[in-house]
Amino acid sequence: MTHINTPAIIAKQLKYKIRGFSGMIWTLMIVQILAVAAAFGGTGGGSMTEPGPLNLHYTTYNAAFIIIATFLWIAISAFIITTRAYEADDYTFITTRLTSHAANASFLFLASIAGAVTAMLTTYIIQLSHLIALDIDLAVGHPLSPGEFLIGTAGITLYLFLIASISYLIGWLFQVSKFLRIVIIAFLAAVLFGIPIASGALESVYSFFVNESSLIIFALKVITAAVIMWSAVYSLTRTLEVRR
Amino acid sequence: MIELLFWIILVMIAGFFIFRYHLLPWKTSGADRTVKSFFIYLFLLLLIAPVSIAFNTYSEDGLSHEAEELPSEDDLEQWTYEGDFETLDEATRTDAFSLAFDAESLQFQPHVDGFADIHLFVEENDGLENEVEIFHVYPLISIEGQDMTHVFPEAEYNVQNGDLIFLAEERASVSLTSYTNDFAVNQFVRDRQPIVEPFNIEPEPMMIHLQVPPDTGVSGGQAAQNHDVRIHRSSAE
Repeated sequence: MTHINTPAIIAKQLKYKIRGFSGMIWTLMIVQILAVAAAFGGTGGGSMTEPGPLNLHYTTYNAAFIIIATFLWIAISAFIITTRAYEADDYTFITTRLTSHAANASFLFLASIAGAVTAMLTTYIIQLSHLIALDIDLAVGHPLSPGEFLIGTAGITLYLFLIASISYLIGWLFQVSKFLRIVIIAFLAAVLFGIPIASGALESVYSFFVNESSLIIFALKVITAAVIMWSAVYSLTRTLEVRR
Repeated sequence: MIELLFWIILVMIAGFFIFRYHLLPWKTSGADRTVKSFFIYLFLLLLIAPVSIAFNTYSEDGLSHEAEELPSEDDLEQWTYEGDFETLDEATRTDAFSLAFDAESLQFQPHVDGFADIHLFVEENDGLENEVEIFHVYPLISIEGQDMTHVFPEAEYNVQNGDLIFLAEERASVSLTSYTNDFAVNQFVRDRQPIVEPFNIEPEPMMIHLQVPPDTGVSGGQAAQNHDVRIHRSSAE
């Protein structure tokens, strides 16, 4: 009887997925370039006339715009890989639900790192292009130290992986049950229309992560939440037929 | 400098890996090309980071800009007045602030609409006041702690009835761009102060550079002299 080496299968699937999901890599680059172009004119601005004989016209540029675009990219990407077309690709290999989800989790974590690093770096394009192309009297910024850059990248990686995990779970809930599909849509609609129970629940989850000031505890929170969500996905799907 | 060094080292490491492992997209095809294109994208972004930082740090328009033409502190020692700001009440905000000085020989009154008067009285010798020449007036100002004196145009002046009148024809206009890329950084780095509007704009001491011809009685010297007057705000303002 052949012994199945699970880590080896996951690694093989991950390697395949990096190539097989190359469209997502292109999408990341395109989304970020478009976000940089959209943010070129600034994400805010105004003017001040005080104090003294000075008119101050200011344009603010916040890299959060590009990072949010990257959040959207990972959310859509994680959702898409739960669809049947992508799921069917897994059966090219010897696979189980466990190895398939583990390979997807690994892929999404790598994608999160790639998205975070590039999102943090794109901010320098804006600064450089502004200084070269525009007539700016004064550029105000608090440049990140190498340590702060690494902390920011780690934080965004964790945010991206959290979003990917949520989106992956939602994607599978959509796949396994029409009832759950309706429940999710109803919940999202309730959040959109500001129904207190739904928006309150979402706000609690948001505060749980965003108000955490320690990177280590934040990482523990994200990892715990991700483990719960990926376990839920595995529990939901382990008894599913390969071809539905 | 350490920051710049960090990025240069990072670029060199990335460059080494790209050439060592042949991560060049045009040498392959299909999905591999996409993956390798991503590495090139990442490398270009890495390359831009130190260029942007160097540009910001060392260029004239960058983050560390300092006005070069200002006299040094040593030059100001010859003739320095400590003046007081008198802030007017809200009802008269068109003249947002005025200045008056304890020294009898100089009065200075800038207005928020862009005009300012300097009255220089040369009491010892009534016939020589027209020869006093102002050739630079710098209303110093800082924004977010950075000296912005250079944005103000050089002052025009004339002499009327023994008073020297400084007239700024127009308000100075400054275009400012602020950058924040500290998403998820402020959350975890406690002492980091985010940039928030409104921007911190501080009127700094006014500086008036005067050239006084010989025998004016202003300085008592025989040769033409240059004087820089730095007018400080009082602490009560």
